[in-house]
Amino acid sequence: MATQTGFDRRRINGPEESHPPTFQVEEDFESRRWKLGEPRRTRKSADIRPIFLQPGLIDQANGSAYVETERTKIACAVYGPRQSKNAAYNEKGKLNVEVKFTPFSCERRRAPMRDAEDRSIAVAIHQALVPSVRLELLPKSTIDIFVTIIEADGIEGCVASGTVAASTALADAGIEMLGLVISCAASVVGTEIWLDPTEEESRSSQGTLVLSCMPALETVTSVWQSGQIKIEKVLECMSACQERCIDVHSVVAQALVENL
Amino acid sequence: MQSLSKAEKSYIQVGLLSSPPSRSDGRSLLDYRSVALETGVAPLANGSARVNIGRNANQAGGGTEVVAASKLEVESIDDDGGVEGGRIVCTVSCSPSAYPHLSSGALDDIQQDMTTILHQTLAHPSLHPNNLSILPRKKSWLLNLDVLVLADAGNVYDALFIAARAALWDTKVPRTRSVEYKARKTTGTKPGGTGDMDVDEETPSGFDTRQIQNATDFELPDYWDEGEVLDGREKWPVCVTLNLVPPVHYLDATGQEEAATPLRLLLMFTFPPNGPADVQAMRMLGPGELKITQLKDLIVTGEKYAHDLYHSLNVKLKEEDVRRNQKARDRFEQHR
Amino acid sequence: MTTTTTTNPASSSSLSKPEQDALKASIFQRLHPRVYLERFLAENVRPDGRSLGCNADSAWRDVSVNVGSISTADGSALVRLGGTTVVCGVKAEIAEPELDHAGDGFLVPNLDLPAMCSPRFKPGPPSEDAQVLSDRLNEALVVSNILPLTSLCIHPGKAAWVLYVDATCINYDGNVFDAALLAMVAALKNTTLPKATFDEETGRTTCSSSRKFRTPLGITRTPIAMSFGVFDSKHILPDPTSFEEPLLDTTVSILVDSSSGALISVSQLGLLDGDGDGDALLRTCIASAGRRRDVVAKYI
Repeated sequence: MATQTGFDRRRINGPEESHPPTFQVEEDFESRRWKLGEPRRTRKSADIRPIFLQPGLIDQANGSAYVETERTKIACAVYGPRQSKNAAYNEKGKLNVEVKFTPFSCERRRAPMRDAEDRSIAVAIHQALVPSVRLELLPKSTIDIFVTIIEADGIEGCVASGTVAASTALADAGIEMLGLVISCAASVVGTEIWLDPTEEESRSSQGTLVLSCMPALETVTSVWQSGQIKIEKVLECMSACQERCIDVHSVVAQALVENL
Repeated sequence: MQSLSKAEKSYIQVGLLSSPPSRSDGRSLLDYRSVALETGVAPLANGSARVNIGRNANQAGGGTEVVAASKLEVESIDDDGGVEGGRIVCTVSCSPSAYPHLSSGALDDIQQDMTTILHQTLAHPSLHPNNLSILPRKKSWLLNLDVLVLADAGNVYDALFIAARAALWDTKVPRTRSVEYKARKTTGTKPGGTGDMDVDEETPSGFDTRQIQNATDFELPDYWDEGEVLDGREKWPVCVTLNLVPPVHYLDATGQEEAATPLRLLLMFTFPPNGPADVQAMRMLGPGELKITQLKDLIVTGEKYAHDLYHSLNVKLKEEDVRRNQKARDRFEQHR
Repeated sequence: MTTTTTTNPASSSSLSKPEQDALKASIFQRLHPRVYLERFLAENVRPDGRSLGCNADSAWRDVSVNVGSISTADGSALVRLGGTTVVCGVKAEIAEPELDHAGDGFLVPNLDLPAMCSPRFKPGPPSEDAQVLSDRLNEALVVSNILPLTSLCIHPGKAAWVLYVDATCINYDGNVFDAALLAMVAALKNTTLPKATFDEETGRTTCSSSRKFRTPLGITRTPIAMSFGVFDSKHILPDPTSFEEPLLDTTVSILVDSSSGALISVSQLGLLDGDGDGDALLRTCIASAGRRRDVVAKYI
């Protein structure tokens, strides 16, 4: 885990193993670090990072979207509906989500292999989207959603922004949906709830929650929680996320209208 | 998940929605099938358990069957991925015979999905036991929790977490005693070094064939039991899967019932000795959707089911402890 | 086969006249790409509206370069060449140098063509296109000697920098080689390395975490590539699009040093016939690349 190894003749290979550089700890590191009990530094606890959303950036795809929330940068393309590859007849269409990190997207270089984290984010995005897409109208078809994470700042942010980007791309591709899916993350830090946590913030939290919903129908399509949160706090987080999703929904709708 | 015809699906759904609800095996909505649990099933593991949900009493077969085993390994911190305080890695594998209709690719995918949920939940820092450290900054334990799904007759996630909890409950961490070697003066050592000096990697170690990077190591003292239990073993979470056929929900779905259910809510709770329960993880699975108020009600209700499960599980685990400790003590006496 | 252009899809009846025409044109383009392109070239224009000859600036697509926007990378660049978009990030790691090159570091360029960027690609390991392009990009960086590998040495025989130069194509609209090379060169120019010190006693390398001590790479040459497609042995199509690429007989890539304009390499894939005078075509390409360099050089 600590070193990168593995020779692949299909790629240009580096040395057999290499390590990320180790940095000296700065003297004032401890004093500058955020400590439990201090207020949030960058924004108010209920604020989310500003969202930049651009549909239709990838003209080779049927639909696409690029989303940027400060450091998190995600591109998403939708191909399809196209004919399913496997021969078995399927009365409902299939939604296929693939997530890929660029090697330079995280603090530590990711070897360009599919790993468990890619799959886990893909599963989360798939769950958030699948109730919204009218797959019953698309027998024998597959919709491929490819998500590339260009820069990541926390898994929760990737799931939430990836979901928003994918739902926007589906709308851009003109695929029939019941509603746009919007997703928002929350973290519990001490007694406070911080929305849309960065990687550092979710690391110092007791637990995190990502809520995906269709604000137009007021329904929840997915909830993805990990960590340790009291039940009342969970319910509180869900309400806070849902409220913020309504705001984001109008941003997404606006971006789609402008792109027409 | 097996595939059902539309008629079969509708038959199951109508049964669940009728009043009183009827399920094919005659259970009420909140009944579990019989759950069988045995710990210490793998003698070479540090902790193990076998769980069966819904074994057919007459034919002694069927049901969802899961085996979990934990194995401890020593890791050097820094060198081979070890971290201060030890770490936990969970892996789920599914026997192909549990999912005969799946291709190997699809089997890999569901294995990975189960692994992710189990690992993300159990390896979360909020549950980390305090006694996986051996030597500060040098050695720590790596706890590998391997869970094997032998048969899936529905409700596999509840079974996974029961088995995982039981195996972790059963896990004994070997007692270790730190040892300090007095290093012999060798040419490779730096002048001014005293008792705990570095032994140069190039110079052959004077002690044994193991590479000793530091003059401190540990040994495993011989003792009648296999070690101490994992710290805070009460807090390992339990999972309840709420199967949702709005407006009703039911527990412990069979494979067929799962195939007819559009949405499942997985809730993992941990119960601290005093104070209210914590939600440890939560997932929604399936193409259905929910109102947020419904979801909130389900979480609150789910805690009650989880609480019942947690208590009956604890009673059983304590019984198993007594049963096995008795055996171990007897065996130790024999060998003396 | 020719009847396909006259049949109207049933759904088009509800469309307006210009929409119907556009639909007819796109169906024609898909069914008879070669004829479609020929008809455009007969009018001295390319399907995307560029003029034909290769001297005017308008023969090339617009280029834009944006550097340093990825904070997790040690250097990064986003390049747009018409519709083609490539993002490149440089990650620096530390490794032990090879025994026979004790004083050298490593430069490891790779291009990924993910399934996202075009319907041609499938998810999974690198496609043949990606392997070929990665190889060509590596070759381009090596032959141009973009930076001396000795400048990546931290301590001879013990520690050296490895620069992983990973480019990912976001949108594949042809001529990814030029765009990817531009992105890699721009990302390398944007890269800074922390001050690293090798401790002989512990055998470890530590880096200063201060931003002040970061230094740029010692880049000696900045290669840029200009690619041309040859269609029907006579039309030179600079900077081909993904629609034109599969129809080309030959692709010519000219690599020049952006500051001096010196020619670094010329590579040609496919037979260059040029109706009997292939050399003339090649000379035209080289001359055109020289003029194009002035435009591209401004971006890096």
